[in-house]
Amino acid sequence: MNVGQLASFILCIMCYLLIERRNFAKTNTVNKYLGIGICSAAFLIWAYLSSFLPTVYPSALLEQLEPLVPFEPINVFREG
Amino acid sequence: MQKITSRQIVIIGTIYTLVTTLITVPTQMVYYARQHVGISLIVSAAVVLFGIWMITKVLGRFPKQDLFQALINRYPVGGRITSALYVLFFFYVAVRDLRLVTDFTNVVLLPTTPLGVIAFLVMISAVFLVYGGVEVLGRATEIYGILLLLLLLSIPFVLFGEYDIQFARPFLEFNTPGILIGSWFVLPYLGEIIGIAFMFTNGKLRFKHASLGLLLGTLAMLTLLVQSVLILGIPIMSRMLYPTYELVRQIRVTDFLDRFDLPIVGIWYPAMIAKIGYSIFIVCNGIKRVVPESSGQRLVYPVGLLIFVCSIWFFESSIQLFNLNRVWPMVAVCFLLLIPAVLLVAMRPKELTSGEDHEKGAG
Repeated sequence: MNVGQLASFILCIMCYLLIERRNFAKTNTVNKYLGIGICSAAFLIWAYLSSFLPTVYPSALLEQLEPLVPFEPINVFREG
Repeated sequence: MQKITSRQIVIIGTIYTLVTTLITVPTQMVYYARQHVGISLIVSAAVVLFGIWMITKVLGRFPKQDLFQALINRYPVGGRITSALYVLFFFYVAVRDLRLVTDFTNVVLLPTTPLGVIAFLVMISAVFLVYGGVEVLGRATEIYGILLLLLLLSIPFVLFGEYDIQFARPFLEFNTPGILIGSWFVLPYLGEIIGIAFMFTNGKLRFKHASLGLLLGTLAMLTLLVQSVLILGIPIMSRMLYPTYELVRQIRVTDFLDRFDLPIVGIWYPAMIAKIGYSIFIVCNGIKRVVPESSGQRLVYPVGLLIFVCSIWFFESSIQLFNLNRVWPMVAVCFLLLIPAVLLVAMRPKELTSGEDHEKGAG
């Protein structure tokens, strides 16, 4: 990820607001807050991916459950 | 009022079962279950059928309500927590599906296009589809779902000459642990069909619709798996990234239809977009039920955006999607079997009060 991609993401949100501006203005407060909250979360994740920080992948965290899997991980993708 | 027919519900169930299952899981199933991979699929389908029975049984107790409504009306706090968990589950399913289709497109069709661009285009299509409501989803599924099923079920007639029965031998040497491990991998993919209980109300969805959807999806998947074994062979198939695509590439009817894989992928792709659409619909419907006064339609774009971002964030590479298939069934079993079993017990019909009892007796 880089700054260009972050800029393109901001462009996406702006396009969304441009398309949805009338509906957005008419909708109730709950929808406005929910919409803004979810978009902000998406924006923060994208900013995190675009930053210099080492990325932690949530699915890698889910793989911590592996000792509980009821069979050995003999898999071609692990042998390589 | 959005209209949806029984046939559309059945096809939606079939698409939910089929379109993601045929991408990566066959590789891992075949590695463990070998030539009896079909039995693994049938075992999983039987387990999922039990899950569907539980879910539809619970839903049947609440007329004209979907499962989110039933949960929240019966237990305002606990029901909201359970609904939120299901929303997260289907959110993750949507993220995984988007990444699966993005990786597939990147590897097979558009190797130099950035992942973000492919994911964005797929997500935009899915979001527009969901924005029209469940009726639009149903109609899109009815067109592409039936076409996909017909195509998949007609492949045996084209590839019959390529079968090598040696690949399926020995027929009667059953490796039971391997077969069960194969079932483990495919279970969550087939089990996602329970999502239709969160899309449709009790009046529309019945056990026979869901079970017929599962049956059709399993049948199409079984056809593909058996053919892949008979044509590609187990050693090759268990080392391929997308064995079903390789199977389809074997179709060469004439010079004119040399690249028949492209029309098939062209029909599979809208079905896959529709499947992502179902998950977005369930997520938005769930948020609408959990948060009072919110509108599901207004949330479609933001939820789509979040799914798009998370599909890039959640998985480091396409291999991680494969590795995830080992642990994901543990999470999925909770949502497909355990929670429905708890709901079946906890959401029993309330006992009749003495007055109602008296009236019933008098009646």
